[in-house]
Amino acid sequence: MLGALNNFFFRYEERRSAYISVLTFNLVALIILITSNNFVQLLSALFVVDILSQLMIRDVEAGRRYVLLNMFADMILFTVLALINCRVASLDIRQIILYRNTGMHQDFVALAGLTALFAKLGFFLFQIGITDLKNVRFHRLQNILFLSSPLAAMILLLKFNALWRTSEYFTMYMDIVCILTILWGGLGSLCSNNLKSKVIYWQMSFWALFMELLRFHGFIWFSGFTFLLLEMYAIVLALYLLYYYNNRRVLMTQIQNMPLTNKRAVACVLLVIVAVVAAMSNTLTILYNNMNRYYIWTFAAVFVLTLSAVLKQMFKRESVKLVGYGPMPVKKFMLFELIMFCAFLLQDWRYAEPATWSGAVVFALLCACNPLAKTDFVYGIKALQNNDVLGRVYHVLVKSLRLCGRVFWLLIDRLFVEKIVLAVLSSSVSAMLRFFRRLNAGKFSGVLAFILLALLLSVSYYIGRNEL
Amino acid sequence: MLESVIYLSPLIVLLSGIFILMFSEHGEDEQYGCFKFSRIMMLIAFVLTIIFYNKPLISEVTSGSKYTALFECLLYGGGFALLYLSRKWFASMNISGYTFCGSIFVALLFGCLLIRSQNMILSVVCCLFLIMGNYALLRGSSAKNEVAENVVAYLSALIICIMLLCGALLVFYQYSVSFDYSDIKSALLLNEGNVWLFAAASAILAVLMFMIGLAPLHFWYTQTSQKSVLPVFAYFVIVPVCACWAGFIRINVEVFSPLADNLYLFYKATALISISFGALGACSSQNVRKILAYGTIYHFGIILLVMQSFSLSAVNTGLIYLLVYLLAMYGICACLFGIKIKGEYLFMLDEFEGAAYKRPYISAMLTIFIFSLLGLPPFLGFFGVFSALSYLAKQDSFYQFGYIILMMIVLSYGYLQIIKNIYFEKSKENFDRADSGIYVAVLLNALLMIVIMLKPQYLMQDTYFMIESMFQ
Amino acid sequence: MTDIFPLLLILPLLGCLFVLFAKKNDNNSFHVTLFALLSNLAVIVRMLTQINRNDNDLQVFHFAYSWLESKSMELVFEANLFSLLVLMGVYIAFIIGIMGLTEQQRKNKAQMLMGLYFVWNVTGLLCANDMTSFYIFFAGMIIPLFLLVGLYGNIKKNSTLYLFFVFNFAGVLCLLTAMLFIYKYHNGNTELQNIALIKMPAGAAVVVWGCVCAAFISRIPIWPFHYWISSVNSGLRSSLVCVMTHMLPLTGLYGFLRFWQVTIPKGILPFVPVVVVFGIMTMLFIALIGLAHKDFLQKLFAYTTVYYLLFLLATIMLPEVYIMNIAYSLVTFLIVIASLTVLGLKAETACEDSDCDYRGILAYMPKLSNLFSFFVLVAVGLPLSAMFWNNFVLISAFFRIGFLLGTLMMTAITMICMALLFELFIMRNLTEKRVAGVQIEDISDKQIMFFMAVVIFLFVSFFNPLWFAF
Repeated sequence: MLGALNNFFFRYEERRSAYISVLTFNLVALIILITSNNFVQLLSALFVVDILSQLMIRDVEAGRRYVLLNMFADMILFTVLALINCRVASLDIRQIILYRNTGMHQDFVALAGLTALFAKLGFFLFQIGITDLKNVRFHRLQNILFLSSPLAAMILLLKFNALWRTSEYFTMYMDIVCILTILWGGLGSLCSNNLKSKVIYWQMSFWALFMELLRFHGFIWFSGFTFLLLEMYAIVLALYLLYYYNNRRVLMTQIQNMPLTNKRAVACVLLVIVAVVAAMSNTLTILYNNMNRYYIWTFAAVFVLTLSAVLKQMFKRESVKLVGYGPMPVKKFMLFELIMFCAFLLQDWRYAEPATWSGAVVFALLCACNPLAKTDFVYGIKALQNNDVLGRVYHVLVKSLRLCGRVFWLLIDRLFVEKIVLAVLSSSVSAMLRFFRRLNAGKFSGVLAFILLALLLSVSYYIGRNEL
Repeated sequence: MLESVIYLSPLIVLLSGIFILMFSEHGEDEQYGCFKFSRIMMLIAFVLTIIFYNKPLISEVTSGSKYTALFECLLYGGGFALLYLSRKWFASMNISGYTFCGSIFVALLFGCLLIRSQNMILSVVCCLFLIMGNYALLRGSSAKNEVAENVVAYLSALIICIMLLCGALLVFYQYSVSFDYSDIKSALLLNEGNVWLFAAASAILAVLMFMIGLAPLHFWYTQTSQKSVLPVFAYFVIVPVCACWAGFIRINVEVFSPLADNLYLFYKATALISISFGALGACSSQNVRKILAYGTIYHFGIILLVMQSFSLSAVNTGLIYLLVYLLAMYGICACLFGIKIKGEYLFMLDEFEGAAYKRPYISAMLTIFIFSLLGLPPFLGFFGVFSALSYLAKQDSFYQFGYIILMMIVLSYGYLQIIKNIYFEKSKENFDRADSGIYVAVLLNALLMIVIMLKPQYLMQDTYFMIESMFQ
Repeated sequence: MTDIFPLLLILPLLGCLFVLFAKKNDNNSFHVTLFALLSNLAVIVRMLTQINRNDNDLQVFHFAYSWLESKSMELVFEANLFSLLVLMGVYIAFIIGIMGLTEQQRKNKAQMLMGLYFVWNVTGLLCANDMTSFYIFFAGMIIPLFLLVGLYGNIKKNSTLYLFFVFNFAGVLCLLTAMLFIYKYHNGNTELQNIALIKMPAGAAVVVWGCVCAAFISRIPIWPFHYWISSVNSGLRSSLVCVMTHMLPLTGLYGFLRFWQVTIPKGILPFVPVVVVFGIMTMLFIALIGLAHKDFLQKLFAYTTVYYLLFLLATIMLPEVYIMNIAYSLVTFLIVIASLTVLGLKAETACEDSDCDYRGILAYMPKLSNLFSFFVLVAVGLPLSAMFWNNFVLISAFFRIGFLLGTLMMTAITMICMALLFELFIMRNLTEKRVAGVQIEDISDKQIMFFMAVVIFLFVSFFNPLWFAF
């Protein structure tokens, strides 16, 4: 709804209604996914979400690896569900309890299922899909990261965790990947020069944290998780607005002094950011416990540091007043404030603790101090910015599969079948024909024929006579 | 007496036709005339043959039955079609058609006698005249110098055949006094294991096999086919083989049945060699006539393989295959008559390139007839292959069965070359317009095939009743 | 009930006759062909509506034709729900193939005639219930296919064409061998479901069933028989001929389905694992080759091979209860393949005609691009058709037989689906600027409407595969 409203009021799309309808369909698909009680509904909704994410992306090149990875994940899920179905002999999801008791290959089911989810979420080793999305429009990117495949993956996790937890490797695998994802996402968000890439890496870390939080709360969903999602969405939305009013510059090295372009809008957004950060710290406090404290602290540190670095970049530098963007219209300004205020209010302030306020204070201080200013040089390291190690790994993997295919084709089809089998057959037939032609063309062939005839007659006669 | 003369009427008609053609050979402007005349005479002879199908033409030395009527129909049909289709070529080439028409009449006359023969001398004489008829045609078509070599070879073969046949007759006379089939058969039964009788029988059979073109006596057949003009080629593959097969079957059933045990191995070996040579030969040549000739050898090999025991069911099966082959070859020859460039009929494969674009209907029918020869359903050839292989399976001749299957695949390559050139190559030449008569002939053949395909009992069951009398 | 059944076999033949007498270089033959196909499709739908699903036993349509005046060669034809469904898929695929022909190709009478003749043979094969009629139609279809492939295949090497025919002919002869052995031991013609009951010596049983398997496997591109069909597919530029070559493996698959409906005959039971192993190996091998190839039509061929092998293994290994799943999946599969063939050919032809790069070709044709994307997504397994959940049931059944079996199958399917999807992206991606002055004609509105109808048919079949019949 936030996404649709955002698009409706702030008109970022040329074909607004088409985009809103895509969002609506996506919502319907997600509802079906949540309420599904059989495998067919589940898989159908999942695949529909994937198709709609493709429509949201629109950019063919940017979405290529994302869609392929999603499809790969869907195939794995298809396999897993087929395996479950074969044992349970029912399409009803509620029957997976039976598989938990009697099913075989439970480790495979759990690990494969988790791998599929990680691919959909864009976790460590599978992030090449979502990192490519940095070329997609910001608001579309935001909706993809929040509302499409990653969310669908979370819903699947909630549905199947009871089954997957029976595997002894489930927790270990999840832990390892989530930790690596949080670290990798943190690193990426700190070092990346591109604002959209920063958001993408944030999301990586965020979803990893989210998954761990769910695990530590026994995969039981409650309002705290809802608020956390909304808060993160709101932060990214606010950041998008800042990006928009900064003439849509994505590179950190090119971002200009924000207050000179639109003071009112900037002020509102800043206030919202501070408020939402405070709300988020409140939510995290609710979700905090001794088991997950390291995750939360790591994520919080990375998040706050990155956000402050971005904001500092936007506000501190000397610059020239930008041309082209006038002040925000009053109505839009009012509406924006209203939306953010509502979001701010939808918090469970009963559990508000000093940590809540201290989080906001720390954030504001960091914004002022910008402790990461001295690390700005990383934006200039091209090798780091253009780093696509995993992309290359995948490329090598796919290329090696293709090479395998090519080698097989050459060895088996061309060499074995064509050059050996067919050539042998062809040579033997040619040899027979050559022999035949020589036999027929020879001058004595007629004589040979008579000799052969006489021989045959004699043999036939004597054999016949002996049989008698 | 009057009766005898009446029963002789078909022969009289044919003889008079021969004499008239012999003595009335004139200038070029009467080309059409001789063909027209020949067709009329042939039609009369055919009608009379059919009317008196079960009467002996010459009493005591010939006999008629449905079996003989069937072959005579095929003979007359083939001859008629040849006369009809060949006339334009002779006219356009300015070549006298009298020899050709005369040879056909000779073939018909002596072919009918051979089919109906009950006497060994008569059979031998008929064979000799058939061989001489071939020789006359070969000489007549020696407008092309390449044929001359083969004519010489054929003449030598003719002399050898005469010697063999005379020798055989002498031996038979020695042991059975009479040349009647039944007497010779009795002599064979009495003198079981006699080498001379066996040799005499072998000589007769060898000559017949030479005429049919079975391997290893097939060389003249393939050599002359590849270089002869189309009317002569069509004659060779249809007319004399029809008569010789009829004679061959009859002699084996009515005379040489006591030698069945001595001969079956020979027949089997000859059949297998024919099949092999036929299939391989069809793949080895670039000459369409030669490919078809070798294909003929292959099919005849199958017929002999099936008939080797000359029992009722064996002969019936072989006959079905033979009829299917003849119908298909009629069609192929008719189609070949329709494809020519600048008045010349075509020899080599590359000359047929792109014929399907210029002559689509004729090419399509040619393709259908070729596929029929391969035994692919739903064409008529399927029945022939089905009957032959079914019979072999019932006789537990599994190795022969498998061998035929293998050679069929080899043969298919040879036939495919023709189809490939007709359909899959671009045409470089302009083909001549085909005569409407060609279309009529092809259409009639196709209709006959369709009728038999829809009512296969005419082929599969009625032939059984036709040959039953021969075994009684 | 059987009143309209003979029409199924007569209509294509009548169509052939009318096409034969149609004017040359005119659209008449195209219209006649289309009319014949549509009429027969209407007959099939009518027959499907007449089948009462509430009955426990599947009702069948039945008629016999006494070809030879003796029981030994009575031709028996039968059609049940399964065969009618598959037949419907074939006809729709053919109609799609015909609609994909260019204006020039539509005037080609020979193509229409041979196409109809091929359809007649396929119809006869799917309705045949006795050995003889099955063989006749099985063998008869290689003639039009051979001629059309030779005419429109752009085959550079003659040996490829000969191999194509020889392989098929060898398969036909294998079936002939089996048929004649059955004649020998049964003393005449027999219905297909009774073949397994014929008493014959062990050696003969091995020969019979071995020949039957060889005959059908020669049609399905299982290694090493995949070579001839792949080499023939590469050069085809007529959508109708492409669709025909994709139909050929169906005949082999159907043969397996009909010949051992209940259980695999004891004679060849020991050899079944060999077939299964070769099937899996071929699936993986072909999927890898599909990844390696850069041509969409080659990838499509790999895709069809993998799926045909999936259906083949389902036929061999799964119990009879899955037969309708195979049917529903097969119908959708045939339609999707035909659509992809037509659209893919359109793209390739546009590429060749306009001298454009293959990469991003679909960017010049937005309507084609959307349709193409839809069909690719259906092909890779999205829940947009009946193929999706029927394949799900089949894969589950394979997992029940063996974990490794199911995993290897899914690996092969995943690889080939990724290959198709990857190719789609390549064809849609236009990263460089559009080539100035290039005008590529998109598909016509008529064709769009036609394919939209196909899309709707596929989509509705996801909810109820027989929505049109009941």
